[in-house]
Amino acid sequence: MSFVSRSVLAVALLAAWPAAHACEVGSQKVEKVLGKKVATYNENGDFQKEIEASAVQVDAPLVECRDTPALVRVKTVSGDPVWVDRLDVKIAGATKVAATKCKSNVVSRESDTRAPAVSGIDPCSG
Amino acid sequence: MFGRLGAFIRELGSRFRGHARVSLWLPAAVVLTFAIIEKLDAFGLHEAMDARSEQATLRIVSPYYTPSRDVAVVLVDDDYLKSRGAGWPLRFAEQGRLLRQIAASGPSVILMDFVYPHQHGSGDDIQSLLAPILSSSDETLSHVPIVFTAMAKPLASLPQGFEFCTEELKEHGPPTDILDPESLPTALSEQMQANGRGRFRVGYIRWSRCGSEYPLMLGGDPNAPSPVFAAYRAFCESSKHAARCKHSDPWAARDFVHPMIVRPGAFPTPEQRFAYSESVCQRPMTPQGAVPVGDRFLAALQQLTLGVFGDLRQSPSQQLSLPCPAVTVLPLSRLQGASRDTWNELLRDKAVIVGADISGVPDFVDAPVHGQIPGAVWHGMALDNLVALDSNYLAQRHPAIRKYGGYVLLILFAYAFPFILHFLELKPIRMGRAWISLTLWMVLAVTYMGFGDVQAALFCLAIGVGLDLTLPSTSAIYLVGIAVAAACSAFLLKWGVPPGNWLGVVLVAAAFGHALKPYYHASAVRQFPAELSVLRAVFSHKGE
Repeated sequence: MSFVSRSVLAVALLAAWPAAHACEVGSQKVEKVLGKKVATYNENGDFQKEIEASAVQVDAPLVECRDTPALVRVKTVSGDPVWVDRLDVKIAGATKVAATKCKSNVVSRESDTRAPAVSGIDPCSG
Repeated sequence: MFGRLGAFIRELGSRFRGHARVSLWLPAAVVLTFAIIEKLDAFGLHEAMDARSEQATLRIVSPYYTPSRDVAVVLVDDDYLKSRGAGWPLRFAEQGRLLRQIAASGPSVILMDFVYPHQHGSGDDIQSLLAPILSSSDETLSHVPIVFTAMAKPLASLPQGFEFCTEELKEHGPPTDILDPESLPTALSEQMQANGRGRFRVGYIRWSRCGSEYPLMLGGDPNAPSPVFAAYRAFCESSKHAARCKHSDPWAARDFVHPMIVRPGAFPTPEQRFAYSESVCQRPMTPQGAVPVGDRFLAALQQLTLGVFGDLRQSPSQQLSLPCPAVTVLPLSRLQGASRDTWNELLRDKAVIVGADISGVPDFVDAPVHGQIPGAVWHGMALDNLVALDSNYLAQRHPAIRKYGGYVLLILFAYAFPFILHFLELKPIRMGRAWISLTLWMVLAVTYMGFGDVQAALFCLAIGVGLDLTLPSTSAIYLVGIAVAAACSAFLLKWGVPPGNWLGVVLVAAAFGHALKPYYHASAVRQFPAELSVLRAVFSHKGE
């Protein structure tokens, strides 16, 4: 494989990364706000403040959405969009997401199971 | 005086010998030998036997444990981290969002099975964990008590003589400060009340020398609750569940001072179906929470008969290996895609424990029935025991009986045994024992075959034939002895009395039999095949 083709492949893979993590808003709308208060976050999922449920525009299209963390950006009555938790709003017109499969591995292990250390995990913070 | 006592003992000895056909001193000598062996606990055999008996009994009676269905364990798992592209430990902000999501479902209490001894990377502050909860004016959220875990100091750093697992309530004297301050960030400790009540509470972990028991108050101090006991107190204060805790007040503490022996259950909750299919878990309870009496009895009988020859945890049949605990386990990877209604259905009014089941994180506990389980699930099982059984949870409550009961039983058994032997050695009884022995081995073989374990079935068949040709009437005594001892142990357990070393009792009985028999009847030479062999009788009869 030549340098050029390798570079093209690398660029293509890099370009595919955000696409793979993108969340399609499509024609999704906020149908209902669940609960009396809604927490708002920044795009990284850090808590910002709590707003009244009535402050969120209902029947308005979603502005944006994210899978990681699972947030949606909705319009408020004042016009400013805010990030809220997906669980806090009922969304209409969402594309049918395949239901997560049941766990295929059970929560327990045999008594003599030996587990190796895993790189990248801080074992002191469990 | 001594002369009359001596004459009385001689008369007693002579009468005993007349009836029992052995000297009065022989059982005493055997008792003394066993007492010395038990006291020496060579190679820790007695302790190991105790643990094995407890494990076997808990397994046999696990079908008779009915879970409360008021406890759920939410586990951050590998699949969740992968799907979120997140690392471990989770960012405080992510944990805070999760905490808020769970609190929004209206549980009775949340127990966070995470400790925070280390600082995270830049910009990830412990305040991010608390902000989504503390900044809320939502009534549902602000009424949910949250128990955080902190580590107790290691035993070496505590005063001399301090024991984490004690059976005495510490009511007087200055309190022992057991908190390892590094394990509880200031931002969290500032939220706690000194009396242990309020919205934010603490439970202590990292106890030691408790064996497999779960302490409720470390050092017997009501102000040093373990995470589960702190959560149980909060659970009992919730309006939904306050009435069920009226029997014994967890704040009075007297009824909860004994460390708990966590009872496992054989039937998972119906809610377990949300996350685990029946192909990986054993059959759960019905949606109404009922288990037919016949099913319970059959499951217990299976555990007793098939557990004699091996570790059923390794069985390919889930009904025998019982891999799933009787507490609802909800992996976050499965829960994350669910709707708010499902979250509410699974968590509302429940005691929710949040923990982790992550590769490489060594938070696993060896449970007697299910094998290794995540620490959070063990907390869940302990909390479920408290909710389901209240102060009648399983514990060693009678130290005097535990200490001397074994010796009393041994002496009674030693002097009664010659008479039992006399009965067992009657010709018709011996014949019956031979038939029962062979039949039991055949039944065991057929049962193993029914569960698809051909190897074990052939093994039983071979043992049955071998014993019938050599010691035809012996195994019935052992097998029936094991069954009776296990059944007695199980009945005691039903009343909150923990199982004693019943396997040891059976082995002692066997040793007694072998020690006394030669004295009892002189004929030591055995025929082959033995005179009472069923197979010999059948084949010699056919040959005639």
